[in-house]
Amino acid sequence: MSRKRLLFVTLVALLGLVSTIVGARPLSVIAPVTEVKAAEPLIIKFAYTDPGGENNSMDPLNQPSGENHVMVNMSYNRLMDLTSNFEVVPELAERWEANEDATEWTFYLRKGVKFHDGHELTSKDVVYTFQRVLDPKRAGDDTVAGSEGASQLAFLNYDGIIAVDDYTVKFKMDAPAAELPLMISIKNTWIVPAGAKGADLRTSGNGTGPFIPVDFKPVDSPHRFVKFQDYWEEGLPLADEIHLYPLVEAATRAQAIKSGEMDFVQIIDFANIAELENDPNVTLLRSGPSTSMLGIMWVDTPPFDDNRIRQVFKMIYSKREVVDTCWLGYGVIGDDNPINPQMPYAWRPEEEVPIGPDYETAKKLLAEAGYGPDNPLKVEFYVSEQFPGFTCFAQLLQQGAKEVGIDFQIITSPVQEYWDNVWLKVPFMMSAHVQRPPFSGLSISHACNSLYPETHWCKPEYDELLLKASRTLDPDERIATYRKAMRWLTEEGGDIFEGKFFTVAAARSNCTGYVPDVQISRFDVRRVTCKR
Amino acid sequence: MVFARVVLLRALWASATLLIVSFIIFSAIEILPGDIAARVLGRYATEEMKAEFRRMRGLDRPMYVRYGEWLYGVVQGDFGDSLVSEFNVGEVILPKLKNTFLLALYAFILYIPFSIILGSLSAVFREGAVDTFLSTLTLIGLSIPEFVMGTLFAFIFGVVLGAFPVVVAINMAQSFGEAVRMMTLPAVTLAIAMAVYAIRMLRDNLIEVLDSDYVRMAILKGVPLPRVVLRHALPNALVPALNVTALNLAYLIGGVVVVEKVFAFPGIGTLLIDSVFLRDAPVVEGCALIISAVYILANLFADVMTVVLNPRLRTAR
Amino acid sequence: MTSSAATRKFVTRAELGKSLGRVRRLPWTLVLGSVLLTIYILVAITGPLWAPFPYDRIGTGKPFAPPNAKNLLGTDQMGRDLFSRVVHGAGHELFLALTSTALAVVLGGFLGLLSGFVGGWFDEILMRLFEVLISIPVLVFALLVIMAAGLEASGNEWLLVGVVALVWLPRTGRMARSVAIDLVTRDYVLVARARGESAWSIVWRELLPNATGVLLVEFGVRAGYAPILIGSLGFLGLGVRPPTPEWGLMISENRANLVAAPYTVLAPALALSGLVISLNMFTDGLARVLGRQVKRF
Repeated sequence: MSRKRLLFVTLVALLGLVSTIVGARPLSVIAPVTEVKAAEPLIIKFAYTDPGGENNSMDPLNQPSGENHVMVNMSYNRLMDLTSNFEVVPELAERWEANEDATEWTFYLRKGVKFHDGHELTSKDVVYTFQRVLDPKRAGDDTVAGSEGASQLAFLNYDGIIAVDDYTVKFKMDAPAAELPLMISIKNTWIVPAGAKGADLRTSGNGTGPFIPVDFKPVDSPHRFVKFQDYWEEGLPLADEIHLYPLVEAATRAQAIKSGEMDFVQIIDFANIAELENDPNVTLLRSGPSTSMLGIMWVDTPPFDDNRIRQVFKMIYSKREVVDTCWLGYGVIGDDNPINPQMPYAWRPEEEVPIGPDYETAKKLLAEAGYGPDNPLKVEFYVSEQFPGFTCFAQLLQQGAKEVGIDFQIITSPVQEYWDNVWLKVPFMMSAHVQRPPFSGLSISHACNSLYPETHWCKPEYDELLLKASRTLDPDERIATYRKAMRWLTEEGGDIFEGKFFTVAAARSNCTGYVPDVQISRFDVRRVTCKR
Repeated sequence: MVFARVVLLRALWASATLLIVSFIIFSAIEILPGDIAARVLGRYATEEMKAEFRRMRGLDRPMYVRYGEWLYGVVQGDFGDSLVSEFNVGEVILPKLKNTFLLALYAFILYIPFSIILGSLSAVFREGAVDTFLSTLTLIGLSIPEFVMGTLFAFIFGVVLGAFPVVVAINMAQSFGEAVRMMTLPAVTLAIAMAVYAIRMLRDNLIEVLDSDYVRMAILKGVPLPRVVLRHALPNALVPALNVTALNLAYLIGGVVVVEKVFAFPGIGTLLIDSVFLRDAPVVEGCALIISAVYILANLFADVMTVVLNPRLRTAR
Repeated sequence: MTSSAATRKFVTRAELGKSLGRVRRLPWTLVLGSVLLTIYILVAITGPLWAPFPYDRIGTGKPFAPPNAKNLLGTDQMGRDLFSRVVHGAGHELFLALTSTALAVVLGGFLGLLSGFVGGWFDEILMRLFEVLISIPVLVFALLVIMAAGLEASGNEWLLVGVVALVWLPRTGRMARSVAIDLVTRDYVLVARARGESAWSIVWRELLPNATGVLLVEFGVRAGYAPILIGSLGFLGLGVRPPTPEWGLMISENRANLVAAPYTVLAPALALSGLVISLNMFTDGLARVLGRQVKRF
């Protein structure tokens, strides 16, 4: 056979193969055409930012991408919900009360609430949920490794969580917990059915929430959720189906809402706001101050063990410039402590913080600490673009450092590597915090027994302040105590900036019902709907 | 038969290569700083949780035991379970592989005629305006990073013209036509990225063949030029282009991470990179072996075809 | 691969002179490519002297200012002058691309030639090793190496140079080896061998000079692709350290702003593409002069 003929035969065979594959319809990967119903179901396409991938899970105990676990929000409820101001409002618990010294709290459950599998919510489910958070193995679930909730709820007593009757749950503790309803409304305490195992929950997501996951697979996107017909809130949810699309690229998200492919986008990068503002088909939705951005220094490690050096890094940049440049104005400045300065209970400096950098004082402090032109301070600052503006902030700090003669190297890390390989492992780096109320915001990384000692801040007197506040029943007195702690951190702590940015979401103008929350972990789509 | 022996030998080498690749990747993930337990459990995981997770997944055993176990499974056709989601690796990879295969197929269907036609035009009108134009165009084409090209396409055709979707939710496609429309932008991006190489390659090969004595002879004998090109020159020039095509195929299966990211396309490249970041060894292994195997097979195929189609080489070997 | 390489004609130093004489005028791609490259090199060397702003000066204009008299190419989000950043970036870009590629071509070239000349087991093992390395997807390979290098090294320019060199090394090595295979049968090599010259000496004095043409073309091709690879690594968060004005990093930093402020992406993208185009043109022209094909990958 001549080679030309052979080539010809090969080509024909190839073409044949190709056309067979292409021509075979329907292709197996393409979903079969859905049957047309009498009324077209209302499907909402929602783009969110977290790729999650294989890490995606419908188990509330298995929520590694903690800042952003949108999916659990759709299928579960908690006892209480939190508003953007951290007010506790009833959800599965209709009401609650504490005894006099706040060592015993009683919650009265809503009646007639159904789980997706049809069984009715009772106190057994609630007790199991909390016991599973505290110690999964002891609660009878050996399929999960545990969660951060265990340490956050460490003040609870495993055996003190009691089902009084079918609709009453009691929490008995050894010490008072003045703000218990707030303290137990965390990202791991979504109510699961009694006896549910992590291995099953991961993909089935059996909760009491408004939407049921359909054929949930961690890596398969979009994730489809259908309306739970027996949802306990009258008339909700409004949409028949919600499809979640993980769109990691900011440019893609902006383009997707502009072109109308998506009905909602969870986060719009600040740079794209100007473009979308002028688009009549797009509505921008803005939250209040949400996640914070901060630099952290180990207060026990040279050169940061010298408070003068810590103060230098707090004054070599302009707080206003960070907000205006890195967030294009979409945020608020911070007071170098974790609490949002706009909250009524926040401590504020008596004089307004200097907005511009103070190079002169910084140079003076540096000289006092023994650094000068022939003995320059050298630091390495670790950063990754966890949220928009992070690298920008690092570079503003770097510019200020240059101004006062500090050798300032920025080391970047891929986003996925950061919390594991960098965080808590280097003395000078960037971090982010979801907004928390004072009791947890001030303790999560600043208490001596903190599991996440970001700044190595450990003062027994500070811990005493927090403990005192958590046991104080009088709100004004409690706030005054918390303010002392805030002020201490501002004046001596290792946190830089702690400004908070606004979360900007976008909707097509025919769509309504989504309000971006200050806590990025709260994702409420019950009222989301679109006019078609 | 000598030929069969060569093929057999190559196949043996290919399996050995795959074995070594699998070992390199397994140990690379082992020595990388970073811990799968921390990745899976998140930022606030405690040491006890991490230890418990490692125990549950059997990661507390020495590496060679785990590698041996994994290898034993692979020999029996079981690529193990994902360390993250505990799904079987096949279950994790197959849907992505299907998507990538579809995209690759689409890109390939665009790529082949595109390359052949433009390459031939360029060669036939060599040094002329068409050739200069095309070779400038291809030079520019191969100088633009894929992520820039993809983003530009998404912007122009997706947003400004609204002709194609910028988000490729391929598993939501309701019909064949919709799937094709969804994949058009990434497929075109990929096809262009591949074609620029092939066009230049084909052009140079074709010119060489057109300069050869037997083609000159055919032209002298009065055979019309299009016929000479189609019947005589092109088939001969295609042989060396097979190599580029084989390599392009390998690129398509594995090297398209960046394009996948731009269009949020759920393909195997993204899965691979994400799994490296998660330190999920079995999934990384599964993806990498598929990609390596495609690369090796494509090369093998190209080599065999070259030998088959070129009698001179068949005897020389 | 190897079999198709054998079909290609390889030109020796002696033949190079002839082929240069044969070409009446230099290909336009070579001329234009050289001119453009010269401009790039001049900008890289002198740019820091005349660029209007330092590359890291924040607030030279409003964030995302469009091109104007003060900021010729506009500004990025931090109000940094894009023109100055692009100009300053030329040096980084050329350094990264050329050093890494040179390293790969020299090392790979030498190993390849030696392998082709020595043959036998050495050749077989080295080539298999190269094949193994090549069959791992480029980005994954680079990713693994960078992450294994650890945190402190991440973003270090020399690390990137090393990684890119390591990615190219097996590819250039294989290319050089195929040249050597062709050359070892030539008379002058046989003569040198008969004279009893050592393997090193033959590789150094006979093979290397005659393979220069091929290696040069190889160099051009790789150098043209290096900025794209480095840019792609930056895209995944593994590139150089900010505020280095590396164009790939600038593209990925500003990708999100493509719609809102296209110039922030277009300026570095055009500069990068321009450099790659001129490298490719140069290589293309060189290859034509040398009478060989440009083989990519």
